[in-house]
Amino acid sequence: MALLSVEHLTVSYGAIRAVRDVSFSVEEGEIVAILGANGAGKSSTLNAIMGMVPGSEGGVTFDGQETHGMRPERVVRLGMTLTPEGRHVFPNLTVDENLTLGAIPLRDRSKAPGLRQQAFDRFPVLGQRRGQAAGTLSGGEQQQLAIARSLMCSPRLLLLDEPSLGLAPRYVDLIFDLIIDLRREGVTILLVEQNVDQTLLIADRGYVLVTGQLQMTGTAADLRASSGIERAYLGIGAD
Amino acid sequence: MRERLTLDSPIQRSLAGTGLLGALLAALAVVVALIFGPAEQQVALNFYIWVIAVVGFGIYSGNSGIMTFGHVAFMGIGAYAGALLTMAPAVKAQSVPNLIVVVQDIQLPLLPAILGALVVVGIVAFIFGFPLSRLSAAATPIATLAMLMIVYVVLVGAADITRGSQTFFGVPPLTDLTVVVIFAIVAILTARVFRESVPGLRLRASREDELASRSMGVDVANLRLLAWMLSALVVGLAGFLLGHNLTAFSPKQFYFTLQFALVAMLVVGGPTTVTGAVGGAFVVTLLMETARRVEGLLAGFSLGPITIDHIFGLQEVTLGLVILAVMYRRREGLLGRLEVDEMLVRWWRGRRATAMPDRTEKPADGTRGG
Amino acid sequence: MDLDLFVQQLVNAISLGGVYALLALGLAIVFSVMGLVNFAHGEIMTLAGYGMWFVGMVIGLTLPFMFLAAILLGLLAAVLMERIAFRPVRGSSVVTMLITSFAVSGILQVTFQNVISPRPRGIVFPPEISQTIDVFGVDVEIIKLMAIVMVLGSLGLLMLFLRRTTLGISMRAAAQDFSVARLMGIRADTVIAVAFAISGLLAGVAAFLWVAQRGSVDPAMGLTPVIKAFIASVMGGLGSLPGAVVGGFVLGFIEVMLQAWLPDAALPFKDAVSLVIVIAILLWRPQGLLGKATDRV
Repeated sequence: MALLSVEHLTVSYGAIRAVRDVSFSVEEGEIVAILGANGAGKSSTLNAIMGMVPGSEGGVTFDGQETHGMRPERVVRLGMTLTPEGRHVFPNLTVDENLTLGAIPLRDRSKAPGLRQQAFDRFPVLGQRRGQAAGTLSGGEQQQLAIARSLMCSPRLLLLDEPSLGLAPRYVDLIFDLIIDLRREGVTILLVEQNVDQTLLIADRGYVLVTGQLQMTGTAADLRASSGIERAYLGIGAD
Repeated sequence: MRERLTLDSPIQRSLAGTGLLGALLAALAVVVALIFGPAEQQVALNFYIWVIAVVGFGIYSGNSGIMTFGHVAFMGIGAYAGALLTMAPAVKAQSVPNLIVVVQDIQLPLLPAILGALVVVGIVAFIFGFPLSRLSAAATPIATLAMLMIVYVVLVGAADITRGSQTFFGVPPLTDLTVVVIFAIVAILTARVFRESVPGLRLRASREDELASRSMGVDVANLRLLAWMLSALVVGLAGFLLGHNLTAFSPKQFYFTLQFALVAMLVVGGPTTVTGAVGGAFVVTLLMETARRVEGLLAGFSLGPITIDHIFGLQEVTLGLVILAVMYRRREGLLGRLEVDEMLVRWWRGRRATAMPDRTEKPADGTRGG
Repeated sequence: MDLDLFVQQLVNAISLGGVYALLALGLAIVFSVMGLVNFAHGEIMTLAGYGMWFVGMVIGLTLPFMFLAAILLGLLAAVLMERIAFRPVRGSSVVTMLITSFAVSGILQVTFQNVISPRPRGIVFPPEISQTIDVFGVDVEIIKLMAIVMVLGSLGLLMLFLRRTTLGISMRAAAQDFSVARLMGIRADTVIAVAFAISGLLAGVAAFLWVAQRGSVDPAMGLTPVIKAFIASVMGGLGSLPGAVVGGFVLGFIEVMLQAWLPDAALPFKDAVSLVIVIAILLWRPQGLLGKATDRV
């Protein structure tokens, strides 16, 4: 049974359909990528899975439980969490405070200090800046904080929304290395990205979204080999 | 050749809307004057004054999307300033003996007095409006509270002019049904013309999306100031008429209770349209009248061991509950977002579409059709 | 001005400003989390005052119980108000919520008039609190000192709560980015209820201090101080918690200074003058004293 199963997901913002009848699944231990150009509906998909979008229809099953219609506060406690696009750290709270908040859904509070230390081990720069306001960090540091924050609740499934967006190349490498490490530690990853090349190097499988609909799917190898992706991004042959 | 009923130019729309509403109001006035007695005529008179006030209020709050709580201050100023211009010098000498000689000796007829009162209202409106127009949309409502308080305190404190908190009496009863109906129509026309005009349109755009409009070069602050000034003048006019209807009043009457009713009327009918303002005034006036009569009935009423001495503020509670009902259930107000002429055009188009399917119209589902 | 008078006026300013600061802070907390400008906050204060009257005059308990009654009733009133009156409009526009709170305020005021009494209810306080004690050679009323201590104590406790507890940090997070806070597992319902609870507690303390210095409660008691607190909060920077506190104290200072220095003929206009000064400050800094210059105008 898949860890995450999405069936016939449709997301509407008023009269606008951002996502149309999208179905896919993620098995435990996989890294699955959702690719697509700007505005293809990738973020909307992730947000809808987390219950952040009231105007969504369809079925979302996580770990055997139907989660569609659940509030995000509840979804997170089931073991699935999202690192949103644009990082969204709490700017006026310190790095430490951001991490504290990330640990709120933890069932076993005693694990929190250990997880915090793990975050500092993974991202030394966060340990150096732990008392600083998160808004004063650079873009790359904020992205590290955002991911570290998400990891504080020990999620089984991590949804990452464009983690490499706007980052310098060395941070991008750092992030992608981290994703591989996480998979090794047993975290399943659903990754939304525009950076096709790097993503297909680390992902197992991928889906390609074009104007809200799934156009292609396959293993990372297949997708790398096909020319369909370029066409999808450039809108060639799209309806 | 297809015949379409369209009202394309702003002038056409304004006149059509005013015409429709004006005809309704005039007809109502005739009915009331012919069929009903003096008590009901008084209620109708109040209603028309309310129409002017709410329509004026909507010029600012409806078009800008900023709900404010200070407009009855302009009503108070309109009432007092107007009264000082229309009262007989003899009465003034007795009630406000310390008034400046120039004003004390004047007695103006209706129209010049209105002009004079509106000048005063305009000056005060600008003094407040200028700083207000520079505030954020979130801070403005609160600042208008400050304005209401300031004007109230000044009216009470300037006892030499206003008799302070004591009743200001002896105002000549210059208002009758004809006068208020005419002014109501004038107010409606003014509000519609502004709403359909370019500044009005721009202001409404800023209501929908302030950031987008400003990036298009719309000068939001000055638009708001313009709407504020126009709105204050119309509301001040309503205050003038109210004062001359009551013939005796005090500052307390132009404070929170009145403001509450004004907000209720705008909100219940629908803040974004002039039609809504008029409709809201109508509905709320009916409700208040009913509540007032119930209050009167219940005074001294006994049910077994319980005796109700007097119920205070049944009107306010009714207003409050009605406002809540609209907020919970139908936020755009009972009459929604369309003006009466726009509703008519839609209805007309709907009829024509079912009678004669129009092949050159674009199908509703967005396909190219044809 | 001699030292005595100066210190007394300073004490007055701080105690009055403190009350405004508490009210403004309560308003700011709710606004920062929900976007709601709660007009009915004044009625929470009034209700707390009535609680004091009931406990002190009807039941006949002593001052500490009256204080407890004030803060508990403030807390209860605020939480119930959120649950009953504001939950249906949660998430809607600022205007909708503003109008809703306006309506609730009117309904409550009239309800107080009918259920209790339209006339003020007197409350007898132990005479000791009006007595003065010697502070560094100056005579200061005990109640004013109590006010300063209570205000500073409340502010201190609130700061501890917001900085040291997870719930407090959650609230600050929710004020900055509500939807992402929910991603952290922070429950929307909890945060909003706690915001209201805090505002109710602060209103209760403010009510206690207000009533103790006036000796009576009436149905519209909360209206004027809360409107002034609102304006103070705007002056400090709408939605900013430190701004609310600063705004409250500044307003208190302005009012006390005007009371001391305005010529007699102008005294009836005191409130108007203080508000004009506030508007002038807003003209100079439309984003508020502590607001950032990049804030929307």
